[in-house]
Amino acid sequence: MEYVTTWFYDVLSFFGLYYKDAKVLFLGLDGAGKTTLLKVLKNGKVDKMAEPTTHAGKEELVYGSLKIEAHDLGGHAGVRRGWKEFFFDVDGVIFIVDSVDRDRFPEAKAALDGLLGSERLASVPFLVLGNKIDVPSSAGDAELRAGIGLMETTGTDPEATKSTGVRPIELFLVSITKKTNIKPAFDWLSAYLKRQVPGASHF
Amino acid sequence: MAAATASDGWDFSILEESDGLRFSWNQWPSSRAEAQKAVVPLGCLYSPLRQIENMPEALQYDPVRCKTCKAVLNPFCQVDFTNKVWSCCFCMGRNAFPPHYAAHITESNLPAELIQQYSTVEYELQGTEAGPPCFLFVVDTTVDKDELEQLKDSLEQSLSLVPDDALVGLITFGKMVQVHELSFEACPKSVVFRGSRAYDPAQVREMLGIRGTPPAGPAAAAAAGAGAAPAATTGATASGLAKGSERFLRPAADCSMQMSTIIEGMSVDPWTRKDDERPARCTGSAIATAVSILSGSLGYRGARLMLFTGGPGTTGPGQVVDASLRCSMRSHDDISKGKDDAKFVEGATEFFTELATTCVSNGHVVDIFACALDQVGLLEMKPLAARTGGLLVLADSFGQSVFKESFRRVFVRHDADAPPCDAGFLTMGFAATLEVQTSPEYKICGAIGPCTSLHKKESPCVSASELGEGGTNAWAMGGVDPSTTVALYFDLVSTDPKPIPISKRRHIQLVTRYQHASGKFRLRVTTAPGIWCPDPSSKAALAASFDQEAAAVLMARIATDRTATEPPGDILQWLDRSLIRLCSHFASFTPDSPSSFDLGSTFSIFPQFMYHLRRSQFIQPGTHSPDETIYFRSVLCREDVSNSIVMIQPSLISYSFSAPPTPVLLDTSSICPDVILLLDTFFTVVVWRGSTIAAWREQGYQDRPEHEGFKHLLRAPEDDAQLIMADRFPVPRYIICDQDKSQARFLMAKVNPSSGGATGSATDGKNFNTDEVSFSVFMEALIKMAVQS
Ligand SMILES: Nc1nc2c(ncn2[C@@H]2O[C@H](COP(=O)(O)OP(=O)(O)OP(=O)(O)O)[C@@H](O)[C@H]2O)c(=O)[nH]1
Ligand SMILES: [Mg+2]
Ligand SMILES: [Zn+2]
Repeated sequence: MEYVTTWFYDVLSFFGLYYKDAKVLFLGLDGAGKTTLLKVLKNGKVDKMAEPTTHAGKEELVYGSLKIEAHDLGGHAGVRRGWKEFFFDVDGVIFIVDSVDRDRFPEAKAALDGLLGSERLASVPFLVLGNKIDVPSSAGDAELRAGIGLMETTGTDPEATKSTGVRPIELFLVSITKKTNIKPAFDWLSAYLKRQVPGASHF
Repeated sequence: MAAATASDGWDFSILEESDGLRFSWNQWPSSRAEAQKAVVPLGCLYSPLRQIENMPEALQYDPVRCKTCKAVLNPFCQVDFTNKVWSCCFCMGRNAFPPHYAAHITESNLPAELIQQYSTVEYELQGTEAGPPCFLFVVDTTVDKDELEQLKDSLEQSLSLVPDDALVGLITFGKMVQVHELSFEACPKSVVFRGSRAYDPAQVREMLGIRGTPPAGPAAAAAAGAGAAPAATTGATASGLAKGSERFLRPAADCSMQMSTIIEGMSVDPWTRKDDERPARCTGSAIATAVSILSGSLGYRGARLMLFTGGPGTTGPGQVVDASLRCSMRSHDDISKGKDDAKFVEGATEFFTELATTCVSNGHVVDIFACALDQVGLLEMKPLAARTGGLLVLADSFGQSVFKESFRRVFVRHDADAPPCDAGFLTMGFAATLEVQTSPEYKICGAIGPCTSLHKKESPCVSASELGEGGTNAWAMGGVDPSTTVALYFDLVSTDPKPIPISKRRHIQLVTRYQHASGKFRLRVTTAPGIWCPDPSSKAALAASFDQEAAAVLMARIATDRTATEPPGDILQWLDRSLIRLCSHFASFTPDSPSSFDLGSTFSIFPQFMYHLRRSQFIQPGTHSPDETIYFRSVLCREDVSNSIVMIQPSLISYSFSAPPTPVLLDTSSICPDVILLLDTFFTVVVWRGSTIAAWREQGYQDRPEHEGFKHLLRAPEDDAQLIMADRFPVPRYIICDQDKSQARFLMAKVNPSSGGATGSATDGKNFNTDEVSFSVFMEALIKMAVQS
């Protein structure tokens, strides 16, 4: 059966019918680092600091053999109400938390819980990034997990969740501006994206 | 009046205040070759409706024109009082005065337009009367309930701001277009159009029962251009409307009850939609219907179509995105790569451009108030506003003061103590056309700003080389207000450098014909003389006459204009090369010795302007959406010099205990924990509190009597912010934030990265095309290139 579906998708992608980029949403509170991440992935460097985002941004990114359509949404409370309009055909979510701004952990937790509870995103892999670990006062793994209520995750090995039917979710501590730990985090997510987007590696 | 050249330099504000004019160079080189070496083009910025302190009350007679070149009689014409003739300062032709002038004119009894200080005058054209203006609201009802309530509140308030005799009308739209009747008090009635298709103007008239044709007003004369003789007949009367249209367009005083009732009763578009769909929103059909009503009812008469929209058009002509939420709004990336999500851009732009053309030919203006948290299709709709002289306001919400207060300010009026022909009338003008006359030594390349060419190629003032809207000396401007500013670029005729006597003058005459809010037609005539550089071998006179602010704005407008057809990289390269050439031409230095470089005082801040321009959102969209980008660019291309300079290089003021408020560099070095900064980017005003100040405030020091000084320190920048915002249009977004907090990015995104940012090695090639070099690195590279032998 698996052979049949794979073959089916391969044929479709050969004809360009099923080929599509992996749609990934960049979510998180304002100031978490979504736009910075987008720029780092796009240009390989941090150029000018961005203003807070209002209108959603969209860029095509290439990660290894994977093409990603990245949607960078604004994170302030008002814009968050519009997030749900983007929840169709999503292949992955990157949720970024500012691990320095402890006062806002509860707000981040609420936003994350809302997303995890959304039916449309039920089976979508979530890559949670605890950002800004280059700042000495940033929260460590345990503190951050407690702060945003992310005690149980599915583990850093994508193979482990392969047939469990559980939504993959994992936390990585990173520094986007220093590009620390970004690679393992993306390797983790892309393993799932490839699985989710048949034909994604055929371009 | 000429810009004064006192021995200590030029004062550019004099010409700006007396005539609304600023030139890049005030003393001109004598040949093309010399002008080319000066790099920054010969050009000016002109604000045709600028309020001029000492302008005489509008003259109640028609202007006298030169029989040869049609230039208007002005203070720089030579008058022969004995023979009662005047010679034209443009073509030198001799003209006899008309009899009533000849009968009275003497050296001590001059008509206003011949008095030296009245270099700008206005004529109220006799026998022309279009009637009071019309305001047609076109309202999107497919928005959240809260948003609609906010919008309704603003619309109701506006009813008291519209003049009593102005016509008003109301269209609402969602899946359908509803044209509301204003004549029945008991039960509001409306005519419904399907949103998914386009009705042609005849069908719209038919369905609305508009049987007559609009009165033939002064359209013919106005369409013939600003220079044409004023309309001979009146045509339209105050109530002159095509028969049948009075059900939909009525004087505000007569229908404010009905309008209020209808606005009150507006509710969110009831059509259900699938979960994965955007609401059906037929923005294109609604605008097309409104345009047909205005053109079919009013004909050529001042009117504003005011669009209030909270989302993208998803159905019918002018649609900008698929209804399905599985498709997303086009991004810069989609557009440049021609991706599927950008498939509507071309067709929609064409559709709206065509509607704009209809509006222009009728003197109708389209304003767009886009209030949403995502894009609404401003990119595609922009020609509607840009070509008709309409206003653009982009806000997050109808509840934001960026919208609410800006909308109120559209209806600003002349002071009550203004001359009676102005007092109490709205300051906005309609159906403006601008015609420019030049001396034979130079010609016009084109205009950049809210204007469209009227294709008057045959004028001898038109240069063969074109820039912006070129190949003409006349433009349609549509709606104008006191801040509307157009950039004009010129070209010299002579190719060989030859000395020109210091006594010789060049002249420019700018003639703006527009419909005053009173319904009368006005002609504003500005005439300004200028001088030439007497010695082609010396750069000193030219350099001394350089207006860096005007020059920066003229360069910024060219750069912005080029973004329509060129990638940002090419534009940056052009800006860099221009700056290098300018510096190597005007600075003094020993070749190959950067330390010897000395750029004269009149150029001192020009490199800074260029530095900020090249990294600005006007050239490099950065993380802004296509809608935001087009918005920024459109506003930059219609504002006056001082507003534009704030956009190019935002101003930063520092407040602290140790010194009075001081302007500081837009640089990370200005960021200190114990100061408060006030940033003005024109679009956003930010009060930023350093971490020490923020901590004190959190501890409530400002409430303790012994810290009275701290209370004042906190208050001062906020008071100044209010002053900045008090009369700006659009009202800026106002942000108060603390250091290192999320909103502090509004400041951090603007400052120059002197420390912590890239200190790239950027001098390879002919430009320094590295992102985010600091200003000092930029300057170093610039000097190195400029002194290269
Ligand atoms: N120290 C540190 N700062 C970072 C890091 N990543 C991002 N930042 C900073 O954090 C802020 C994040 O800004 P953005 O990327 O614009 O935030 P955003 O998530 O897009 O925010 P919104 O658009 O408002 O939703 C900026 O000031 C960045 O310079 C990091 O790894 N370390
Ligand atoms: Mg962002
Ligand atoms: Zn003449």
